[in-house]
Amino acid sequence: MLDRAELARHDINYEAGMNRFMGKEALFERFLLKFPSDPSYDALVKAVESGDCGEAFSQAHTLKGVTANLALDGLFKVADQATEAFRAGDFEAGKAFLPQITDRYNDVIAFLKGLQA
Amino acid sequence: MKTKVLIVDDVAINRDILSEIFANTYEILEAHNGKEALEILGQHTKEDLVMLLDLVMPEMNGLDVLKAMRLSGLIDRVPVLFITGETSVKSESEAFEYGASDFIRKPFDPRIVKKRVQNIVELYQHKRHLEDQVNAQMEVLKAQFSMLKRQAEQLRESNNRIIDILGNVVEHRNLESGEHIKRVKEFTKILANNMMDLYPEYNLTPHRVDIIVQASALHDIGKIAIPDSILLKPGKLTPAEFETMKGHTTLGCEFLNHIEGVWNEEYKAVSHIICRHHHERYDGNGYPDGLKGDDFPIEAQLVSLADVYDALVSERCYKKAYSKKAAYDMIMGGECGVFSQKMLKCFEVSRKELEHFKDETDQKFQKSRRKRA
Repeated sequence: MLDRAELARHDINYEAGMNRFMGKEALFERFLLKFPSDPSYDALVKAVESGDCGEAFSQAHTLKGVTANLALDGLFKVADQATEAFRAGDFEAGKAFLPQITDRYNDVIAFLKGLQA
Repeated sequence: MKTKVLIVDDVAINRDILSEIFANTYEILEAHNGKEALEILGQHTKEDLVMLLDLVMPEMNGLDVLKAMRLSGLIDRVPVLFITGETSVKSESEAFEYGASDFIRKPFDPRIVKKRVQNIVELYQHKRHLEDQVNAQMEVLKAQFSMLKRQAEQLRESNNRIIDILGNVVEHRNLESGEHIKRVKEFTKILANNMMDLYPEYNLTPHRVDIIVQASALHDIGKIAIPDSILLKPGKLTPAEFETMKGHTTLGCEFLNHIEGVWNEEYKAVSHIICRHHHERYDGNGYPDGLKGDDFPIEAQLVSLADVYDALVSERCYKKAYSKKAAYDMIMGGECGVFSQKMLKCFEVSRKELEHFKDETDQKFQKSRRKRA
């Protein structure tokens, strides 16, 4: 059973997620638990480290897509902002979102690992 | 066969979510990137398939996949729906421009995605069904067209045969000019073809020339009603006899009028013109109607010259054959009635061909005579 109050604390949108997974909570949970093994975040960090703006855009875009699907609203919002900065070619502005992304990512991952246990 | 859904996304979670949504209704195929998607498409060309395509992917992005499908024509058979986190309007309009059927943004509502996919699948099934019907009808039309062509060809043949039969009747009645009709046909052909090239104002076409040549065989059909005493008289006709002889033009037309429903109108009309008017002259001094100038139809002008030329270079019951040169000079000099300047020019241009043909038939004739002897 997902704890709706707990999800809200980590900026995960229960309503949206349940809607996406056709009202099946078990399915929503199963997919949430897949997120820690998704490579999008690591790929974004690597792209930013390499200084490649196009690749950073691509990876931020991917992270944005996955988080949108899983209703990880908090992470989605910053990934979206970073995506638009990279799209506009402003690498520094995009890079500036990375600490926020990392904070929220770690928060969500910690929560999901706890859920798994 | 179940419709297949090809899910193209580089992110496993995204593929899994879509797969979860569609697994009940469709058979699921998955591709990790654009290249793989095109490979899979190539393996399923004969099946009903719908593609759910991500936009931003490594290797080959969604728009590139769409461009490739457009280039190969696959886009006409496989509907493509973009499902993407992309928010820019520019990408959306580009996608539609390249032939995407829909553009769905993440996060999406699965019920709506399902419904949209279903709509597109049905639309394409309907479209394919219509195309199949159109193709089947095209086949039927093609078959009917080739049948019509065959029938037109048969009709042309039978028109020609009718004319040949009638021509033969005249030949048998008018014993001495056995080869006359064949030669007039050939002379007419030579003159008509040159006329077509020289003077486009007469609107002659290969088709029209063909009909004139065929119909020229009938120019003397009226002679079957002329008494032997006049038709085969060696020597000059009296004025009364000549009046009777002139009647072969109008009598011929009467015969043609009795032939109903067997031949094509164009053949019939040209045969009439030739039969009635092949003794007219350009200055109005011919018969039966005394047509003058351009009232004298070109079809009859051609046959009249061919007829006069053949009369000159051949032996007749009332005269010996003139030499080719004498015949040429007599026609050019107006001794056989007046022809138009254009007709004389055409005759001048045709001279070599006419003489060549005349020589050929003479040789053939002598050969066959030697054989008989």
